[in-house]
Amino acid sequence: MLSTQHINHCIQRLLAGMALLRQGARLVAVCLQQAGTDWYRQDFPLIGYLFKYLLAAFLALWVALKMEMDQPATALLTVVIVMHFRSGMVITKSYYRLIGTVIGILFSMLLVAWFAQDRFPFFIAAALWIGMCTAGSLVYRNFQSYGFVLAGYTLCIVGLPATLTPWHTFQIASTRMSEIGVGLLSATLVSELVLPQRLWENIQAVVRSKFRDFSVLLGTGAPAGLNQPFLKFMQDIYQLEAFRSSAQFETDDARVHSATINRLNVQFMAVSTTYVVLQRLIQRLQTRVASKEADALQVLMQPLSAAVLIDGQPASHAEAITRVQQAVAAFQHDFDTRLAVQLQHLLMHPEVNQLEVETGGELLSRLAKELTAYLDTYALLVAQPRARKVASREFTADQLHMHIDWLPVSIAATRGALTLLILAAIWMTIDWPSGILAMTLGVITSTLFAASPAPMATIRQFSVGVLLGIVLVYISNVFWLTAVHDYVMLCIAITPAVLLTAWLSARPATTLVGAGLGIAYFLMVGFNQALGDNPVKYFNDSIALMVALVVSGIMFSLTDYAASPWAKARVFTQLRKLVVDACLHASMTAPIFEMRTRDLIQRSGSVHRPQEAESVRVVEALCAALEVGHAVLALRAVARGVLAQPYQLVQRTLTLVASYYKQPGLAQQQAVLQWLDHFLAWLQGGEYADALLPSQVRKLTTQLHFIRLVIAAEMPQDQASTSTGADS
Amino acid sequence: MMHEWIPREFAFLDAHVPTLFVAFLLAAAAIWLIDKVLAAWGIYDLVWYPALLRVSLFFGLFSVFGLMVY
Repeated sequence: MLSTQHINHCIQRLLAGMALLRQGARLVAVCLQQAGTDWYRQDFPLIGYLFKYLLAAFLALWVALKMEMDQPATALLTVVIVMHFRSGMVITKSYYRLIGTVIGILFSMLLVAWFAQDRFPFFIAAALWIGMCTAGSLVYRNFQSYGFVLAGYTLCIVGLPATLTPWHTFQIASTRMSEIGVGLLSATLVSELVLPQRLWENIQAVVRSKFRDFSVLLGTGAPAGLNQPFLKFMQDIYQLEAFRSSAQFETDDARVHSATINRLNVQFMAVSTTYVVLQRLIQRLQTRVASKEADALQVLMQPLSAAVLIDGQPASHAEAITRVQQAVAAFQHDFDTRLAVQLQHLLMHPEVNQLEVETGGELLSRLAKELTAYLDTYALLVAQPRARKVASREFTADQLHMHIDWLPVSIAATRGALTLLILAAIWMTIDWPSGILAMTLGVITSTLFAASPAPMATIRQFSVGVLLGIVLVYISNVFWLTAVHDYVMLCIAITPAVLLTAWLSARPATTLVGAGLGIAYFLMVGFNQALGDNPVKYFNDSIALMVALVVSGIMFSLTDYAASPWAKARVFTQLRKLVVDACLHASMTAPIFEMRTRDLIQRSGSVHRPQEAESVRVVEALCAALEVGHAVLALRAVARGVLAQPYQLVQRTLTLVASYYKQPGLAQQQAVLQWLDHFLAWLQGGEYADALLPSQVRKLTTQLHFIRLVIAAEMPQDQASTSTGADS
Repeated sequence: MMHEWIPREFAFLDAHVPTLFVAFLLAAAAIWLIDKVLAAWGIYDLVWYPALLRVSLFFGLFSVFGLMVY
């Protein structure tokens, strides 16, 4: 018999066991939920994207077949070209693709109308057109550049086939246009309506991470050097610009905030430059034996560093941002008194150069001012995006200025034109049936990769994709398409290629492989005029694609401008040229100087390789150019308000600085330094004190002193370069 | 009725263009304008699926224009 005690004991153990089980179950549920949300956040978008890609392709195929178009594969190719992870990007890409196609078609018709009877003028005009398109694709950024690629490519798919049957030109043009239209409509419809991925989240993430990084940098200083963070910031700025330029067709907040984002970018450029310049000044002062000046500047900087971090962390929510804003405003408010106290304090040390602390103080107050402006815009964008509607109207921050270097542009244009001419010559001399296909791919590669920082690596990746595509075409033409007898089976037959293309192009490391695969597959797949396999055509076409890749690879390696040491030397020369422009041209303002300098570096491709020693040198040169350029521009801004005689002296300073930057030799440097010493002595002597206000004297003095510091510091580097020049 | 005096096709530089194509372009232009107004007024903040609204507005408008022709 069981005693009640025994039963109670059993029940208790049972209850304990059940509690344990419940706890375990809860743990499992939590784990599953966690895994589920992780999956939903990370993997689900990719699966959704693959699904969307397939859906768009099937829709385009169905419409193209239903309308009995000549080449349904062109519609599919269009889908492959414009599909993108983000919905807004698809619409923007389609928009530029449409413009490029329409212009390309119009030009093809003109070309056929003019030169259909003679091939030489035809190909020369076509080569000129391709050259122009290549140049355009290099000059413009983002998807605008894409429009030019498409304008060139359309010439190949409309103009070249039309030369064989000129009386069908109009028909060819209108069918290609409809096929492309079907592709564009399906891609945009599907990516808008099915699981749309909005840009606004990306933009906010970039904006926030940029702010976080900058706060940490401001708060803790840069123990590991400034170059890496500065490069990172530049990357962020251009990424944000890329997102912004694609946001104009979005439905969400991104479009409304476009102007604000632009303004934020410009302000961020200003504030990060000022910070870097200030830090470089402090570092330069620290290299001296007695660095009382650097210590004083760091003491002055300290409250600002403390202000941007809250409990050692960057501000993350609206309240924290408001607190940072208030702290920075307070810093600005009593900065002048603190500077005066420091200067008073330094009077005790006669060896200290007060002017250097004043120069730093000037920079620091500019930093605080720019930081305030940046914080205001940031708060508007992140903390209270809903309260923007009125505020966003007044922003008229202009576009990011471009710096166009015509030399690489003309090299690329020549390359594009030559690639077309070489392939055309092969086509004509050996009477090759697949010449048009080769020219099409040749033009695609030479326009699409013109702006690539490392074209050889790009071509290699793309070629891997094309090879994969050729293999896949063989399998699907010979084994799958021959078994197809209705729409559903056709869909099944093309599914592997579509999925593989989508998957490869969604991963950043293999985007180009995906592009090559998609383009090669849908250029060659066998359901255009007749379904199924035609071995002769298949081999001809594969050889054509390979020949095109080889020719454009050779052309790229022969004219690889970006990799030549000459191009790198030119970047430095151009930076100096921009400083000269800042000295001499009245149209150059601080933001324009800033944007053009950064755009030059961005286009030189160094931003993409932040680890290399070469990039570090480029960034050093960029910082040096920014530093002196801004000082010169500030000097000019002060000089605008002064009387004739000091104004002429400032003009003379500018001319001398410009001549030094034009020809960085020892003699010019000595001349500038002597003149600056003379000018500074004149200003400090108070000889013409009645000609200038005290505040103007102070501003002029600090800027001149700063320019003197920078130019004097350039000495060792300069001697090194002249001595190596003499050695070689 | 309108469809009695609007031709279904017309010659543009000697090429036959279906009037429906013009209707499509008109609808696209109209949607572009309407879309700007809606975004500026913040209507999209009140809508559950803005893209769907935009597409359906476009198809509605296109159908209206199309029915004027046929």
